[in-house]
Order: sequence, then structure tokens, then C-alpha cells
Amino acid sequence: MSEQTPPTTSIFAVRTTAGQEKNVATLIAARAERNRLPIKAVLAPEVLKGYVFVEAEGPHFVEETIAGIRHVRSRVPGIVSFSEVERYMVVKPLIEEFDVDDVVEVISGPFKGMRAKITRSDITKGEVVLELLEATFTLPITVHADYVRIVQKAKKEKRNFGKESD
Amino acid sequence: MKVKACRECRTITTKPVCPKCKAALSDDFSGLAIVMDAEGSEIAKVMKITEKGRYALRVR
Repeated sequence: MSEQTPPTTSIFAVRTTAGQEKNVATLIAARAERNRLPIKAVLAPEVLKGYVFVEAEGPHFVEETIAGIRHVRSRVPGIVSFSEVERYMVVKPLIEEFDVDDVVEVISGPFKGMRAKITRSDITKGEVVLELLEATFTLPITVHADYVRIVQKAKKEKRNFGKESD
Repeated sequence: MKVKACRECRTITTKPVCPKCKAALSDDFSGLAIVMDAEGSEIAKVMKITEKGRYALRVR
């Protein structure tokens, strides 16, 4: 009996100059507030360059709000589905995506730019233990999961079709 | 004044402690969500935000 009511608002994407997403979001919110426009929320995910999402009851409200705002390029026609935006809102910890034997690149700290293989991951601390591939001897280092970027996922299981190479 | 985000409620603030929950702040955050109508916003519902304001998407 108790059916969920469909949302009355929709999410619209607005194209912006790359790197100005936060400024545009702030300007959109300020204008909506000043002109009492029914904008519900503005979202500027760091990972998505050149776009901000605006939640409103209709596209005309978004058009009215973004008109003339600096660094706004255009509104993307159509509605963005909620599931597409949801992944930017609920950020999954990076550590959960790492597996042992994944090849990663260190993106910060003294080992920046070096490639390494994950030997262990500590989910509670959010750290991974790496083995640098470029080092001449085995050097285990512990790095925070935010400071590594995945390069190649480990193969789940080896399939031995035919001959096994040595 | 440096902008920081609350580790608990993700509110973005320039104050030394979070004005909403008095928790510790972090300057390592990313993303921005500006909620203007917390009750009518689906984004606010998913992010479990009940008050209007500026929020970070990810706080470390």
C-alpha cells in the first residue's frame, strides 16, 4: 500500500569551464537565493571536470539561473538520471577497490610516479602495503590508499589452457 | 581564512570548529554540494543532509 512517491525534482547537468566548477556552483546558488528561484541543490563533484549538477523542478528554472553566469557554457539537454549522479554523492572509500597483486602508481610523496604492486591492504586504517616494481630489492612501503592510483587490476585466477609456461 | 570541512557532517566552514556538530575539521576534502532546500532535495536525502548549507562530498 505504501508506495514511494516519485521525486518532484530532476537533476540537470550544466557545462562549465574546466576548473571553475566550484565557482559556478557558488554563483548558481547565490543567484537562486537572491532571485528566489526554486533550485534545490547544486553539486560539483571534483572527479567530473567541466560539469555541475543542478537539482530543480524544471529545466526553465535552471536556464533562468545560469543565464549570464561567468564560466557557464550551456545546459546539457535532457535530464540526468539519479543513479548516475548518486555515485558522485556516496563516495566509496578507494581502499575497497584495491586487491592484492593490483599494480598501482604512487601519486604523492617521495615515491611519486613509481609503480608498485599491492601486497596487503588494511581497510580499517585505509592503508596499502606496496612493493615497488622499480626498486632493485624488495622494499615494502605503507601508503595511504588516497595516494595511489590503480594502473592494472590483478587477474582473478589463472586459467591453464593447454601447456603451462615456466 | 582557510576553508575546512567537518569530518562528521561534512559542512564546509572557515571557523575553527564545526558550527553544527562541533567536531574536528579537515582541510583535505573534495567536491562541493550546496543544499538550498534540504526537505525538497533528493540529493540532500541521499547525502543524509537535513539543513541547508555547503557540504563536501569527500572528507579525509
